[in-house]
Amino acid sequence: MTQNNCRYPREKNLTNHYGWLIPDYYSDPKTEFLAAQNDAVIHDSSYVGRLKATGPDTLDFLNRMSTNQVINLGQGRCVPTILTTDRGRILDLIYVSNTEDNILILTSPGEQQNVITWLDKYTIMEEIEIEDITSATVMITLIGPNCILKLDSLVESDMCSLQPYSTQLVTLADEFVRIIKKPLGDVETIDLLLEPEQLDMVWANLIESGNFQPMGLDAYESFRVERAIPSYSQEMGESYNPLETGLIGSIDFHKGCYIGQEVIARLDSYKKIQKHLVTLLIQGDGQIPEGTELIYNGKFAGKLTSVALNPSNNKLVGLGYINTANAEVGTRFQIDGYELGEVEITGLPQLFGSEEKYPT
Amino acid sequence: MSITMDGVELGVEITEKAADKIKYFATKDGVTDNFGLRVAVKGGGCSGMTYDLDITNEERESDKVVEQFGVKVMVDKKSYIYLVGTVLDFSDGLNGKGFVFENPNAKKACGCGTSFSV
Repeated sequence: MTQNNCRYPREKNLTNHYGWLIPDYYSDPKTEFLAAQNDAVIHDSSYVGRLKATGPDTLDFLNRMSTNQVINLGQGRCVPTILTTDRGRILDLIYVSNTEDNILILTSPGEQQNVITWLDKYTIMEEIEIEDITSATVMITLIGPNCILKLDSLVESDMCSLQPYSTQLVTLADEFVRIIKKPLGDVETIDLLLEPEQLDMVWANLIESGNFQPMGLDAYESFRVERAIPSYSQEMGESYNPLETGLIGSIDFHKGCYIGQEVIARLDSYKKIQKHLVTLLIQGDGQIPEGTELIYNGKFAGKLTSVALNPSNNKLVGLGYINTANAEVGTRFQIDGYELGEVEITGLPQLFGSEEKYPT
Repeated sequence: MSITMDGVELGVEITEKAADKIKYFATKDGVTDNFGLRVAVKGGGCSGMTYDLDITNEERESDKVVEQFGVKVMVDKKSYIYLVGTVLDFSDGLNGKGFVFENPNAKKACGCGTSFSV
């Protein structure tokens, strides 16, 4: 195991991220960012919550508890769906995958126990058991326009023609590994779910044979903000509803009842969405904290939720929620407390598109 | 509030109109022999919990069973606490809603009446 393909090249720059030690960087954030943007990276995403659900009522139950069509999810298929409260607010964005043996649920980092508690609260006579397998497994995410092509060269299965939102077992570095092919907006990603003892071998193989660039937390955060991928702790949670967060593509407006459905349907029908998640270009120094308010014509118009430096051009980018009345591309705002600072809306992202149709 | 019939506490009371409709649907489904109506609660749905009706001849050990108007009404142990005192009626006609639940335990219900919260 050389330093280049080692998961922990330096002991000094490890961050405890939701209980997992993840390097801040491997080479440097700029190299890693550019590789994610133009080529393919490998990122240790073990901090993502992983649950295993079994029982004949699992898909039917999840269908009544979340926004997307889950009940007909075929084997080998995956779907993003949102657990919502009775007020239509986001409890969590989860990815549900129908494997041969069980239903795999990926949650936001650190939210796995909240998801279990929520689902358990509404389990009455359903035959369903949910187990937290986060600490018993590990996960790697491959990101970038070439990640599918590069993985395809390392496995026997045809990754290129595999439909988005699919899951299957593949053999990689002589190990059986579960892959989940799930795009995030316009970003290609593939998650690899592994047993802990498989990780080092698979990691080394992907770097040496697949020529993947390892990506640490710093570059991942910059890339996430640049590509408008919402983070639970900053852009999601019970302060927001899915329509505000640009998650309309994970809502099926034709399916049966789920918790919060009436609220979400009304918001969509009557166009009563109060604010929108937007991408921002920030002009100011690098110390603008998340949560800073944005001002338009002297009045509160929104706030920053994420700020990151795009290392490829040294520009500050951000995500934020802006009042609907001001949420148009090109609109500029003053930054509260920063006289010389200004932000401009560069986009109104929809992570899963406006009307995604998922293979079932 | 508990509902009793001949001194027996009912989990769910059904009206004669509802019973007639249940018999109609059972005949339509070809279920004529010793059938019953299972009334249950499932998790999820717009308000958090959903009523579930099933015409079946399968009785479980933990069911609370009371015959009303010739229909065996079965409520399982887990659903019972959410349903006790409920009256199941049938609303027909041009503006009819179908089976209607009047559940004293429900704090709110969805517009279509199939989901509720306690």
